[in-house]
Amino acid sequence: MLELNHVRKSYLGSCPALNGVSLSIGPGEIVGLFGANGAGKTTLLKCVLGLLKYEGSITLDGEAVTHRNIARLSFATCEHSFFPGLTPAAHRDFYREHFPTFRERRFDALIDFFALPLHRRARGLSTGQKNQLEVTLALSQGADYILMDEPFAGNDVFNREDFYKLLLGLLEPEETLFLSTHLLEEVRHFISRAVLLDKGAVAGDMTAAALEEQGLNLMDFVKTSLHYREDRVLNTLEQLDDGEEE
Amino acid sequence: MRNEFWYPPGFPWEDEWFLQRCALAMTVLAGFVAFLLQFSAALEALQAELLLHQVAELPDDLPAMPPLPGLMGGFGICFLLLALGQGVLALAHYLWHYQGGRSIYRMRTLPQRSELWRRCLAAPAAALVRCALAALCAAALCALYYRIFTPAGLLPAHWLLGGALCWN
Amino acid sequence: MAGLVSFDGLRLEDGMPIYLQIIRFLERGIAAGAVRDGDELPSRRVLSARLGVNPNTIQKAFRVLEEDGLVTSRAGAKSEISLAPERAEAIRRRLLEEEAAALARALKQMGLDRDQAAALVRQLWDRQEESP
Repeated sequence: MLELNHVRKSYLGSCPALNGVSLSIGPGEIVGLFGANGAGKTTLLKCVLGLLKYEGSITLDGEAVTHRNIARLSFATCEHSFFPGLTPAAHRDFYREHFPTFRERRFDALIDFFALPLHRRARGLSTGQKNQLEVTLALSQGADYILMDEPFAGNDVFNREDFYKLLLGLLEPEETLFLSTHLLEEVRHFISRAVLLDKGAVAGDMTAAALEEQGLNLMDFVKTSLHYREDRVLNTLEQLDDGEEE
Repeated sequence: MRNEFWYPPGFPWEDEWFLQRCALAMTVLAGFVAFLLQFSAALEALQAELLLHQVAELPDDLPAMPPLPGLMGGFGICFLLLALGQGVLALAHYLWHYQGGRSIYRMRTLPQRSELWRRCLAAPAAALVRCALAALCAAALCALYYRIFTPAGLLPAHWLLGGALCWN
Repeated sequence: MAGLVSFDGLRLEDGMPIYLQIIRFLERGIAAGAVRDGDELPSRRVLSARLGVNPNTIQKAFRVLEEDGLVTSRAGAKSEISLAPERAEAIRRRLLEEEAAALARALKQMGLDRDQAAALVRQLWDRQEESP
């Protein structure tokens, strides 16, 4: 169980990026983390991984996140955490050495699926391929909680759809995916739970099942929780029209 | 242990190796040259003073060469620069993880706590040791040169360490 | 000979819960005779990957089907369709009625009366027979 308790994070001299986030994520969940840019999604994920200092507590099965249990968390980010100077093959060796839970067969299967060149340095891959390598590594680490921060920036839609399906077939029942994305429409069937972040706080948190029972689709849920004003565009256009002379 | 083990992953360690060796060679050379220049200047000054002494028939003691440490300033600076360069190199190793992505995230979330430190600091630390050893050897050579080429009778008392430890 | 139920023809739409769409698809298959007693269903994980849908949703669909007695599952093996002939017939009849009721409603809404509706259907039916 990944538990966040009143997590706060402030950067010097500005509003808090995270303003008291409390969440509980259990094994096997596929959680979509949604929110506008600057809502705190990336900050939240980085705090979980211990990459940022924060107030409050984040525990994994009751224990703080330290080097002793950090291997149970993996991270795929649009900023790319792989080693640009290493080939995918060299990454495999590195991961095999450093992670006792490394899933080598899954790694090979994903490299195959994405048709990634095993012996080209990562910096020489296309943007789409880089994302694919990043995601492959995060999935093959053998972590229990896989965190992804906008992992598909730059991949075409066919790639992405195939990938969601592959993921659903790959993930074991105890593996948890915590995915931050703005691609609401695409992931709406894929996730089992939606968490909304707005200005550093949780604005909504519902399971897909609960949403379905209430007859809400994901888009509606996001819009209502974020008090999205549908009439904004119309109002602006009307104002412009009024100012124009016939 | 493979060489890559001691450097950031994907780092061009062979190039760094080559540059380190060049830098060390150049530092030894520069240090020695700096010493030679200071030594020659001191010897010339000494000879001029001697001449003056003879001509003026001054009753004081004969002037002597400055002790060795007084002539090693330039030498010291060369090796100090090399040592400081190792600090810069350690920083460069660290900043490498911000190049082409953020592999720093990977390094900081490894179960092996010392991994990042080792890969950033091992090579510069080893280079510092080599630098110290090379400095000792080169300094010994300078001492030898000083001893051989200082004319007899012009050697000061405490020629090796005088002035270095401030006891005279 | 028992076969594997294919979900190739299922296109997911908005507006109806996914698990209901799955059940509906199965019922249509039964009504059409494509899905028969003893046919095997793909495993939950495979179906989840096939449709791009969270396993919980698949689980829900299977559970409802089991509760309805349409599907039996055995540990360690694929779930099977359990279809008595009367059941298949009942499903077929229900779906037909639903389709027909929807058509009747639509035609009524557009202002046709009973005889006009019947004539229209007969006309289109014949036309379809001539050029299928």
